[in-house]
Amino acid sequence: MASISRCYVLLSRRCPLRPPSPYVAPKYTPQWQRPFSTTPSRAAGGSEDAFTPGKPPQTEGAAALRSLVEDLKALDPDVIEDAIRKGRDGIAWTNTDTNEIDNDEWAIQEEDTRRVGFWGEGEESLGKDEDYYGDDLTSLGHGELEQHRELREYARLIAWELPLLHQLARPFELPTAATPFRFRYTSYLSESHPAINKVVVEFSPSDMPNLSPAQRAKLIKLAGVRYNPSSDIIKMSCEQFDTQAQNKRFLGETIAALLKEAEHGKDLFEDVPFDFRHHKPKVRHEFPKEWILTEERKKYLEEKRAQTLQLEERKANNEGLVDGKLIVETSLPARMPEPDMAMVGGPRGGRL
Amino acid sequence: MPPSTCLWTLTQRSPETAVRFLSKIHPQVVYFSTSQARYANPSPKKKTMTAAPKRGTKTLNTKKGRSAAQDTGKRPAPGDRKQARKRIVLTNDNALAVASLKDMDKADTTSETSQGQVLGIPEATVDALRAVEAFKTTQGWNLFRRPATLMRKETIELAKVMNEAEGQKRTLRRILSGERLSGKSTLLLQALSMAFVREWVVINLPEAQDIVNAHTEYAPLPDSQPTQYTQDTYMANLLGQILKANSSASNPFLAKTQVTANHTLPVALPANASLKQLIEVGIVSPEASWPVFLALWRELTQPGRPPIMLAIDGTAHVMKESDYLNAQVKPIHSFDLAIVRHFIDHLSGAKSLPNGGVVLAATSQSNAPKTPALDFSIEVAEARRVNPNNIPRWNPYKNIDPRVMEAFKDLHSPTAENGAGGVNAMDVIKVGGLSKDEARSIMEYYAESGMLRAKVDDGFVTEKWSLAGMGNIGELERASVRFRI
Repeated sequence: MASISRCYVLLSRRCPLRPPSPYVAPKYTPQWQRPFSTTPSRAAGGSEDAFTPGKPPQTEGAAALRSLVEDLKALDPDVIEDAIRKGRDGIAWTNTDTNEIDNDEWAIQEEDTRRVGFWGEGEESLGKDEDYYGDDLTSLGHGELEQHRELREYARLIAWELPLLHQLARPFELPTAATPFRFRYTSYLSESHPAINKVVVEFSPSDMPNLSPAQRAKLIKLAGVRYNPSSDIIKMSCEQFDTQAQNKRFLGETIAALLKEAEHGKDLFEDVPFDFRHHKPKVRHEFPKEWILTEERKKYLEEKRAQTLQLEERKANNEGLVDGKLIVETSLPARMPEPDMAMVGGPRGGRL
Repeated sequence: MPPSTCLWTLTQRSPETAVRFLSKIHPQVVYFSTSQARYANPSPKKKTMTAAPKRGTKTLNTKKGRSAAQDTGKRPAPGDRKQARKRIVLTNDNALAVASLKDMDKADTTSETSQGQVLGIPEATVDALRAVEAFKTTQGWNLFRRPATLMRKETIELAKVMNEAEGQKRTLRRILSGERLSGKSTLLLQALSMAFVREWVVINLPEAQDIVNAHTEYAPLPDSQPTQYTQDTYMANLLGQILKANSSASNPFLAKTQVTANHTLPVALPANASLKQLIEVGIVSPEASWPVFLALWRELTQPGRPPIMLAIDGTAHVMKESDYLNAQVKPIHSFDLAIVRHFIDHLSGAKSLPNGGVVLAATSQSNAPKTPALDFSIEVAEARRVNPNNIPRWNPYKNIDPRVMEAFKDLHSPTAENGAGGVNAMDVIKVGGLSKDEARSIMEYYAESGMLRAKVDDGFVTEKWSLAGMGNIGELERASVRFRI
């Protein structure tokens, strides 16, 4: 026997407590199940050469792209929305719980007359407030559950989506002489940070084309403290503008001006000595080769020690070693033994 | 409460008397203003009389100087402290006399056989060295019975230089460099003692700092361009030192030699005067000391006179601007002081010694101002000895003293001699650590003097030699004699 209120309790249990994650696994069964590993399956036999790492074969690439498109389609928000809707509507009354309700004649299909509650105000999608019967978990428990859900969400991401990034990987190519500038941008992974707009450029004066040695020297002198004599690299940075592009443009203009001045300027600053006071080269002490205890060196040292010991012994036997303690003892004036003092007239108190 | 008859009595008086009476009973008129009280002179503080504390109670006395115990000890007389500070003690009666100690003689100073021996300094030489202030208070002379020195490798090198200077009549200039406590001043002392033993004329400027620290009077030298400055008192004292040091009983060179040239001196000189008399004139009349010194120098550089040993200690002090000020209140460069100029001319090679001789300049590591030019010159000369192709370059952003650079041109210029063809005219003697044999020799001397109570064997010597930073002799003395347990 169940009351109407009991019926609501069961209903509220069946409703999801939180809006479902946008990353819901697709409900339909795909024709092709993507393997867990992203390593391409290898065909047996002579098609080994088809799997060059830099350039995957056309068919492989097409299949991979197709699968990527399907995966991404599966993640399409419309599809997700659809799935959510279906899922919500599709929650059927399960027989186990509601058998007695179904049988119960008191089961009245009644309109929910409750007003839109606190949570649904202004946002109808959240629905009405749930009734509270004092039998819920504590907020701490909900926090634990939430954390667990979050971890599982990321685990799903790691398992299913991050491997897809591999398809976007490009092989590393060495910079050529045509690209002597190395720019560095910093990303803080969609967080806001004051240094996001900063751009750093490094280049070596030796890589600049069409510079005579004197002009290169002038470029180094113009660069001042931005030049590192140990690595032969000029490093400049800019963060005075709001965007990376503006900062990069400023750097490019500065480099162009420097190069122009070094190349076409009249004065080559030949009377100005290089000023590297800003740079303190790092001293690296290396273990001297001569100190390494090789077998020959060990042997040599043994021999030398034996030789000195022999000489020492010979000297001790012939001339005698100088012993400071002995010298002091022998050269001090010998102490005379103190004579026993005796009374001239015999001991006092004697018999008269 | 006053009786009611009081007011009644008022009414019985006439109005005039009543007013007078009223003013009498209210003598003070209260004004509305308060300025009178505010601007009144402050009343003197009342001395609160408090009763004396009772007998036996403790009171807090915070006034200064009331209860501090007066130091009634006797103060040292003026000059006593300085004298104690500067006292040179050359003997230790408690130390044992070393029987095997031999005196340094002329043969030792010319041959290499004495290397590694400890030789005593002859008594006459000790007096002469004391006269030229070659002994320093920081050296360990007061530990032993009598002054003795170790003939180390650098000493023999210097002896060779002196041989060359005397034999070939060359002017050889040497700068003594090395780490702290490595024995630079002692090596200078050894050079001076060898010069005394060889009967050279020795002129020693004991401490360069004393010349430039503006403690003695100075005056511009007339007819000098650019202006030079003489220090009369210092020069008179220096002449006294020269006279005392170079007129021993065995070598009365100054007394025997007569003045040959005709000098124009501000003070009259007796006829057929000896060099000794010439110097005495300079001592008694300091205003004539500089002309007397120049006259003496001219006499000493006459042909047939002995070689000259010219030495200075603490060279870095004269390689910068002195503490003296000129008429425009600008610092005078040390090279503009007459005696320093005289020395530097001979050190740099601008002037030479016709009878041969050695110009020695010892550096100091414990009391030396910054002199980048001197340091760089020494560094270059040392590097050239190691590898002539790898010579450090001058840092153009260091503060350079061009006059000093010019003076040491022979050390750091690319055309400087590299010692390939015999003895360099100008060079650096790097005073390094002792070898183990030398260390053993000096430690045996310590033991025989009774100052080192241990058996001097190979292990002991190696231990102390290592503790002393690979044979730094000052540290060796500390480790084995001074800090012994």
